[in-house]
Amino acid sequence: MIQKITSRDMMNILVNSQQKIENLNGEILTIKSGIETRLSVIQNAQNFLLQQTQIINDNLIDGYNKKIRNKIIFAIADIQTGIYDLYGVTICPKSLKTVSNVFNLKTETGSIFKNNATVLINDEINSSFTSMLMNDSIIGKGIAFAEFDTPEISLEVQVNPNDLLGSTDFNAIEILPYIPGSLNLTEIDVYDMQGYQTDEVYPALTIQSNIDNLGAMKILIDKTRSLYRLVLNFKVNYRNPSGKYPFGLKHLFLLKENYDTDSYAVVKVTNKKYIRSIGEKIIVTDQNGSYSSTLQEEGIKLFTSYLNKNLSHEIDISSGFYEKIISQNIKTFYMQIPIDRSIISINFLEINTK
Amino acid sequence: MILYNVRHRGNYEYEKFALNIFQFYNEIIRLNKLINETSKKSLAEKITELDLIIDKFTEQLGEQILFFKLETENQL
Repeated sequence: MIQKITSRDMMNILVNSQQKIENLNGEILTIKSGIETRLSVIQNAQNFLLQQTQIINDNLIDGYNKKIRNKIIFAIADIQTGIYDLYGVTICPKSLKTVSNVFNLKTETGSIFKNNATVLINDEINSSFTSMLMNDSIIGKGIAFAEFDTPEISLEVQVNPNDLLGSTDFNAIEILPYIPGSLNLTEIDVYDMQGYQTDEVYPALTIQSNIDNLGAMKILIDKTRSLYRLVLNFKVNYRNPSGKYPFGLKHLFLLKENYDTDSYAVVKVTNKKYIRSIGEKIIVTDQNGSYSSTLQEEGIKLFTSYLNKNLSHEIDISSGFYEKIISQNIKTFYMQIPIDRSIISINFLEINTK
Repeated sequence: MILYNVRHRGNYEYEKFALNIFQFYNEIIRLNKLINETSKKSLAEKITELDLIIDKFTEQLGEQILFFKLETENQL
C-alpha cells in the first residue's frame, strides 16, 4: 500500500507556511522599530548639538569666557599625577575592583543579563527601557530612548524579590545618557531590601542631587546597600523642534566596587597673568550639585612647584579681607585635592593677578 | 475531506494537488532563506552602523560639547 499524506497533513503544511511568514513579518517590524528609535536618537542629538553650539557661541560673544578663566573641569584638566579614575565628566576615587554589576553576571564568555527587574517610566511599565540595565557588550541590546510630552521624568528600577539571581548589593550608580547635557538629575531615592522586608514606605537613602547638564557620570552612595527599588528623577532641559522632550540612557549600571580611600589628584592650573594672591572661596560641582565652599573645607592644598613627583612651596591662601601675597612670580600652580566622591569641577572665585 | 474527481481530471489529480502545496511550502522556505541571508543581514549591518554613529555622539562629540558648555557657563 502506498502511503499518502492526509488533508490534515496538507493543512499543517499551510499553517506552518503562514506561521513562517508571520514570524518574518514580526522580525521585520522589530528591525523597523529598532531603526526608527536609533534615527530618533540621531535626529534629537543633532538638533541638540546645533542648539548647544549656538548657546556656546553666544556665551563666547558675550564675553562669558572672562568670568570662567579660573574654572577647572577635571575631565579635561591637566592632571599631573594622583590615584583616581575618570568617567565621563567626573573624577572619582580609584576603583580597585568591580565586584559585581547587579543586573549583569560576568562570565568567561562575556556578560549575561539577569532579567529580573521591572523598569517604570512615570509610573508606567516600560519594557524597552529594561535594555539600559544590560551590559553594552551583550549582542541584541536594545535602545532605551523615547520622546516624552513633559520634561519631568521619573525612572524607577524595581527588583523582583521572588526572583533574585544573586546579590543586589551596590555602592555606585553609573549613568550614561544618550544626549549628554540634555537633562538634569534632581533626586535619587534608594529603597533597600531591609526596608522591603519590614514594609518600610520611605526610602532608605535620598540624595537631592541637582546635577545640571548631566553627562556620563558615576555617583557613589554612602555605603553598600542591597537594592530593592531605585527611583531617579530627571528634568529634561531640551525641547526638540516637535515640542517633545527626548530622554534615553545608554546604560544605567548599579555597581559594587572597592575604592581606594586615599584617592587624590594633582592638577596643574595655569593663568594668563602673574598671580598675586589666591582666595579661599571656591564653587564645587560634584555628584550632589553645585555649592560654595572653601579650599580648607575641601582639604585642597595649593603648591607653586611640582618637581620630580614632589609638591613643594605651599601657597598661603588669603581669607577674609587679609590678602596673602605670593612672593614669587608665578602663572602656574598645582592643586592637590582628595577624591572621596565624584567631582565635576572647581571654580576659584578669587584669583587676583598682578 | 477532499473529494477527487478522478474520472474528470485524470489519475494524478491528488498528486498535482499535493505537489502544488509542497511547491508553495518550498517557495516560502526559499524566500525565508533569501530574506534572512540578504535583506535581514544588510539591515543588521545598517543597525550596527547606526549604533556606531550614536556611540560616537554620546561618548565623544556630545561629551566634548558638554565640557565646553560647562566651561563657558556662568556659575552662581
